[in-house]
Amino acid sequence: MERRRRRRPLADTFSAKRPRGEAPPGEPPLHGSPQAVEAALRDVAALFPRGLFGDALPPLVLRHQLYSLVRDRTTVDRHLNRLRDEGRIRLLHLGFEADALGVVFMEPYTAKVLQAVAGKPQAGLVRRFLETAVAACPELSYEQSRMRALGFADADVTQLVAAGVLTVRDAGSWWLAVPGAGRFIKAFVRGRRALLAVIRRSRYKEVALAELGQRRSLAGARLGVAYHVHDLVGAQLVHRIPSASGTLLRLAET
Amino acid sequence: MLSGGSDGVIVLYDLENFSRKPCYTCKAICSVGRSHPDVHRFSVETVQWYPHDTGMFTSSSFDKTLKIWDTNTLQPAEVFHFEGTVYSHHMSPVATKHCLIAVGTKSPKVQLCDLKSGSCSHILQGHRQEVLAVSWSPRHEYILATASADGRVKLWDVRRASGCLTTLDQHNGEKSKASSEAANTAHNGRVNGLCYTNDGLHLLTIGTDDRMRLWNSSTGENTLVNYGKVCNESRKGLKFAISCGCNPEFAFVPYGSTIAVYTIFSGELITMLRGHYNTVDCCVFQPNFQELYSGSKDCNILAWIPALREPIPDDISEKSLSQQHLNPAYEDAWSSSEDEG
Repeated sequence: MERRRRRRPLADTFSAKRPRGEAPPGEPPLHGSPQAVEAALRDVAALFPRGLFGDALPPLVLRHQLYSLVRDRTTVDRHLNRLRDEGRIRLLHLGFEADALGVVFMEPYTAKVLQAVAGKPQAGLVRRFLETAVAACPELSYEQSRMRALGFADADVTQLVAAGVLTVRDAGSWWLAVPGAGRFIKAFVRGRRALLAVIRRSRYKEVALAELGQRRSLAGARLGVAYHVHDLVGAQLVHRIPSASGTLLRLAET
Repeated sequence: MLSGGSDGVIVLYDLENFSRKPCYTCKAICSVGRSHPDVHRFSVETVQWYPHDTGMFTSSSFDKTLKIWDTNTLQPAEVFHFEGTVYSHHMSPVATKHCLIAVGTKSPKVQLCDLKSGSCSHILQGHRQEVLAVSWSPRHEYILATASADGRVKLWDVRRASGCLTTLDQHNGEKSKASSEAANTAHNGRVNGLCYTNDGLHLLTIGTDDRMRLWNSSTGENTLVNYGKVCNESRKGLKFAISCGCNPEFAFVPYGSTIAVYTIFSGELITMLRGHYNTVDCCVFQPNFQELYSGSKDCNILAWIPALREPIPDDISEKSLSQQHLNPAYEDAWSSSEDEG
């Protein structure tokens, strides 16, 4: 299928507007500090609807959602890596896109995982896994050799996969995962698609942000419009444009 | 300035502006046109001046040849033939002990052609698909970087017989981040463009996974500077430029029909330069004038000159608005009187 690219109207080509000294109003500050990154992380985690999945999931934030709150992406990446090395957060591979990483705070993650396996025969094994492997190695995936070195045999790994703590990546390696994350990913992809469809159907491929919250056709966005807007802006699928009548969301061209 | 077109024509321009006007057109001094007997048959992909003087220049094209031209007579002094289309070539700007031209073609082997002897002296083996971009280091005369469609960027020391020095890995050796097929690749797609910074300490690469990455050229480590999505749909090489003599240094990357300007070390997108009507294919920075020249599919080459502008004061009154110095290209010629027409 040939991709059609929307050509910008000619008047846009010569933009004679001079840039002001500081960022235009409505845009997040340019230079992020570690405090800004942590505040952004807490803000988006607060937007996550906890009751939606029966309170079985810890608040999941996607890494690119933080880019919509703090404009300096390199600072966000570096600070997240530092928090991960300190053990306060965990980066998870979510599986619907190669680059999209989920960020969870460590305490809610361990609490929810143990809650999910409570009463099942794998509970003791999962607890041992969380205490040794997850706390010790801050990586996204585990190889068979590493698991053996940590004292988990192949049968143990099969049980962990059945419990939902590990997901198969390849023959002999597994991603760390959240049990029950499948429902989240399904709702997330559906919501993202619904929001993009709304913007695409509008006449000039742009929608006012204030109006988006009030539309009834957004029943597909179960995770909340604000959560999805951060995702779309951070992934550079739409641009957030300040205007005299509020913020507009315009579909990115390519 | 030397420019090569997709019809095989090579034109030389004089960039000096003697007209004292802010908008001017650079004149073409001479050209190798369609009527020249030795003109390239297909699109000219890369042109480069001989690094030490302007008496000679090299051009490579999709017609599987690399031609060495004498500027004064505009005759080819030497022609190298290859088996596959030539995507890119580069001659080292700092070399004193060798005259090698590195050529990236459709074949996975990088060829090194020697100007002194007139033959292809070396082959560098290691890539698995076509080589889309090559660049010599401006710091060490024997270090070469090559980028290929298999997603790998390799650094070579051409004096070594045994193979490449390093293959750049976007995850810096952490095998846990990628799926197993993407291990040891610089990008998750074809790597289209390569550019060293002027001090040769860092290397910028751009790939069709819409990412641009900055590497430390001595260790091969990914500095993990995040530029966001840098849209790249080019099937062949993308030529982008890095500024020289600015602080902080900027990268000028063609982005659709605009040029995106990024600060290299912080990853911030400064601005998008709009002026072309169609896809921008290449840009090059002239360090002596501090000007950027960009070529596009709309058959235009535009010169971008840094404008010295004062920041607008917060209280704009009527008087100061009328005193603004507006570039005459943006001025409109409508009459302001309501009585006419």
